[in-house]
Amino acid sequence: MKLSTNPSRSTWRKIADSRLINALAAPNGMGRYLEALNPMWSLDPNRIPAYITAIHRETSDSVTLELSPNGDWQGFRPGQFCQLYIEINGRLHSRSYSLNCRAGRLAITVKAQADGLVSKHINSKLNVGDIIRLSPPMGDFVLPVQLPDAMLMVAAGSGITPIMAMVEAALKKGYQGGITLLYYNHSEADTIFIKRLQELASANPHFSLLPVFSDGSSELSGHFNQHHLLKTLSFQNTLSAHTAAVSLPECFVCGPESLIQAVSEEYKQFGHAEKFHAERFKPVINVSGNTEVVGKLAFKSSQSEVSSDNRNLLEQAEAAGLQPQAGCRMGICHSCSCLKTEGSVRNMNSGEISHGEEYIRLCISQPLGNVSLAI
Amino acid sequence: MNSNTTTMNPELLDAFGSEIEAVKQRALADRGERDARYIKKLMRIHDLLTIGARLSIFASLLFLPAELFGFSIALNIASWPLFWLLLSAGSIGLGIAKILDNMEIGHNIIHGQYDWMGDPRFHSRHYDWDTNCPGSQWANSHNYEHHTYTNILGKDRDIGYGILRMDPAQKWHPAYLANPIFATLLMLLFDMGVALHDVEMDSLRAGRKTFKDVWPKLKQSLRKTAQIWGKDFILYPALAGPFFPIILAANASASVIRNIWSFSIIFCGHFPDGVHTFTEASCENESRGQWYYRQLLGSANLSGGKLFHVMSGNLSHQIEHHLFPDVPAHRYAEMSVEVRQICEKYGLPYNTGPLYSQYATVWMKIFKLALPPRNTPRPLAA
Repeated sequence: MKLSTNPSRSTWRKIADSRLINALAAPNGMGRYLEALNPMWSLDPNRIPAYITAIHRETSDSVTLELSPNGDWQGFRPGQFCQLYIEINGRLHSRSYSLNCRAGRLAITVKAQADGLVSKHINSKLNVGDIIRLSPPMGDFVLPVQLPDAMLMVAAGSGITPIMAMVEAALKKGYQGGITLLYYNHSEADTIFIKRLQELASANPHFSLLPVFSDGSSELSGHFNQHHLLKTLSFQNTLSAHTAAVSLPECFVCGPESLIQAVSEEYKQFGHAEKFHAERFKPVINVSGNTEVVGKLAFKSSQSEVSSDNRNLLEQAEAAGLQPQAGCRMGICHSCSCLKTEGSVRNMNSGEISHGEEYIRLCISQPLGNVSLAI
Repeated sequence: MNSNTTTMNPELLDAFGSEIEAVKQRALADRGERDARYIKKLMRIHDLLTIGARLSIFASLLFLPAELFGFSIALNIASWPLFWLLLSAGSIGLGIAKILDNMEIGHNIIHGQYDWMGDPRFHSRHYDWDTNCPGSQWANSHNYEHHTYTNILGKDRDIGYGILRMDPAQKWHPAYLANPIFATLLMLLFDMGVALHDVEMDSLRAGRKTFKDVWPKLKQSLRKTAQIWGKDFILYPALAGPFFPIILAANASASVIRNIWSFSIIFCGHFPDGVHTFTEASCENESRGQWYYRQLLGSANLSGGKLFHVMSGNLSHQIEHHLFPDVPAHRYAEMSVEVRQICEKYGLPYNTGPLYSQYATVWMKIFKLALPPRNTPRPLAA
């Protein structure tokens, strides 16, 4: 049991998680016994239990869960996400979802992906009163503390979730600059938060909504291009006295990689790359995709060895029949953190190379030659 | 009984091996909700039983009619029968909770039977149990050494735990005259025995290792022992102030109950009559079939009811446990039906019996092997 150093923890949590009390429940700590009495009394600050207090259907394939976490939840900055842990057929799965507020409560909106085990489960199997677990909030794609003069938000599909939190927080603060939201979807019917956004836009002169539907029912159409960008600039709200004509607004994008690339290119062309911020939920991995043997992969404690290829070590360990602890599979949650005793691996997110004995995250590590792991 | 696994026809052994393997793969493929629910339920029972038992031990003090060091609670509800009832119920309850934690929960989780759940609360790398041996250390000595080299003399240090003579092939020495005494001590202090097992104090004594070699593991074991004994024998008793000795005695009884029980179950797993041991040479380049065959010959089951199997951590299905150490143990009962059928088909022995008869043969062995071998030809190279 990790002793929490969270200064804003409630007094009873601090006492229950103190050294003396945990010593009385050695070796597992008091949290386990409190959880047996009431699952919400968990003391695990990394997997915070939360009741589902309401479920709202947003579109035919997306729902919003209203959540009531226990006292270890310390709030989040608009734009941040967390890992959501959910058990499906005995297995614990974790996925990243952006955090929102709805009716003053913590909320998470999840779109069912065609091949998404977890997102489909959330959309169809959860009930009010169920308990899920959350990691503390993370991510630095957030609304700046010092709000810029103007902001352009670009979202596609479920990429709206962090953007929505940022828009609502900015307007709630009484933001006087202009916010334009360029929002891509197939049609109005499958557009998450469309009602709330329309209401916000009509109630608030500082916020303009510019939906783009690929079914042709909107003024703009097609993928993001320079025309879309210029169109957003024509909204007078976006053009503050200081920035007009010479400067692009601070830009926040969340959506598929192609959208992020397209907006990023425009910002680069205009020489405003520093104003561009994007959130991707999938790591950018440049793997040739071949399965050429790169060396030997040894698993020390399970006494086995396989030949390794370009895939990440987690996949290769699983293919070899091991069951390493794993979570997000994208280098975020550190569940698969494991001691590498020998060899070099490349961090597939940052490109950094790790040599020799070091803890690595299996899910984002690609072997470079022979590697030995302590699992 | 010493034997080797190469006497059986290799083709037949391969066929036997693949049938056993198929039983395992079916169980692994079927893992899911049911297993998760089971281990969670067990853990919850353990947690609530622990809380209840400790409360019961403390509550007994309210009924204590006598003074201790001049202190008494002196309520007019005082009564000896109620005091003893709560105190003994608490001790026995705590003993049972420790047994559940060490056997059905801890032993099986640390084996990795629930790693597939991906939940750190049930993961072998994260779990630690309520006994003196650090879980991570035991994962090595037990999961790797004992389960890989089961009953191979000289490799499986579980044979006699480095202090007992449990196999006639172990060379007799006058110190083994105390075999029954050592066995009794090991039984009463089994938690300490297990904690020191992987430290290899016997290798230190025999000069195969230096103190420097054993110190890192010894330090881990002592630290874990301090944690567990500190909790049961200092912290909880201290909470009772002047009634310290009562709580200490109750907690110590719980530990001893757990020690006697786990020693008994574990010794019945590999030492009853009819269980085979093997030589290193006979196990070289073993096939999968031979490995399964050795696990079968080297283990013995205990028959009993469902509660008995849970309390034994399903080590009563020692044969299935050795064939399938990473399959959730609550499945052994149903798997044993198939395993027995396969054994019958291939004419292989399946050693099983009730606890009292298996245990009796274990103690007979402990006494018999205390004495030097009789009527056996002296080894030529002695």
